[in-house]
Amino acid sequence: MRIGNKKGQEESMGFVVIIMLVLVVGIVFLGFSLRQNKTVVQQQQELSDMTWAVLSYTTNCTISGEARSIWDLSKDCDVRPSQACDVGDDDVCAALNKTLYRVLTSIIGTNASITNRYVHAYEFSIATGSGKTSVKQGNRTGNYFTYLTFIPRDINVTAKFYYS
Amino acid sequence: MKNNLTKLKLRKKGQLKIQEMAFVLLGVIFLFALILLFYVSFQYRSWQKVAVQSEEARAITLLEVVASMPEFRCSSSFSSASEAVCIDIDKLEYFNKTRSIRDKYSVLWESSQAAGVEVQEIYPDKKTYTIYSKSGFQGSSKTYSTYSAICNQEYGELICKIAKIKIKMIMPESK
Repeated sequence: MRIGNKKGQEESMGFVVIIMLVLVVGIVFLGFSLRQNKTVVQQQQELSDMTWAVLSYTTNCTISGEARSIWDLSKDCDVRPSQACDVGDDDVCAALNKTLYRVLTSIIGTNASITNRYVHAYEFSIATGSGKTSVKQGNRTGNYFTYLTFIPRDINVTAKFYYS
Repeated sequence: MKNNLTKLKLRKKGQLKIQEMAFVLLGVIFLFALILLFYVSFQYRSWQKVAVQSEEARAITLLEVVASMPEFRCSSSFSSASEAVCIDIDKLEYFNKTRSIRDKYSVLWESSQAAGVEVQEIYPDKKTYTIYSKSGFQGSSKTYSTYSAICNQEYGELICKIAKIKIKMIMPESK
């Protein structure tokens, strides 16, 4: 009888322990499931808007007194790469390269400044017939959003945001 | 004497049975509570996801609306080779300086659950143009932003800079 009592008590204690364990596991799972996931819809839109804003930016390079945007310089670099800007020693391709670097590192960030951000790296490239101008910053690994557009005369503009 | 001992044993056995039943009932209640908790958590998660997505979609739409509103966008007389949407700096200046015009448009932003709308030039200079600011708002909010070109005409030429359109959306709990 005494052995029977003990066995019964042990069984019920075991049952309670199992229930408690299940409860603890459940609460931990619940905690993880309630953690918010960052949505990626906005970054995709931001990437395409950024690409168009950058392409529209008016550079310091003028040709025959006419201000050139990054869009214009990309076409100039494709058609007449040796053309020089009115002021300074830069040709259109060099002006494009320098301006693109200055603009992107200023509006998005440099290797050092973007490391710990949600978008931890980026790549922006303009591929013309005479070569490729690109700006790459951060550790370009992991998932990324990409946006691709074209400038007439087969110039490809590609932007990538790497996110964590 | 023997009779009393048997009664005591029976009572103890009965108590043990009641104790066991109580534990089982407790366990069953825990299990049901757990199932309910999971159900509520999954439901809450899906509601939350829908709410965040719809709020984000509304904010993104609003960002695009600001960039394409005739009140702000570059007029068609601006000759932009890229055909990209741009915001007219002169129109922004007018909104920024004229409180009465901002007040006239406040109904539009309020109905969109926005607490603030501004265009911030980020390159090459830094300047902020306020389009709308909900007066006295101190509740919780989330700011959404996107890039845009802001341009003006200087000596017949289109000069474009880079800006960010920022919209401060009112979070549901503080409505």
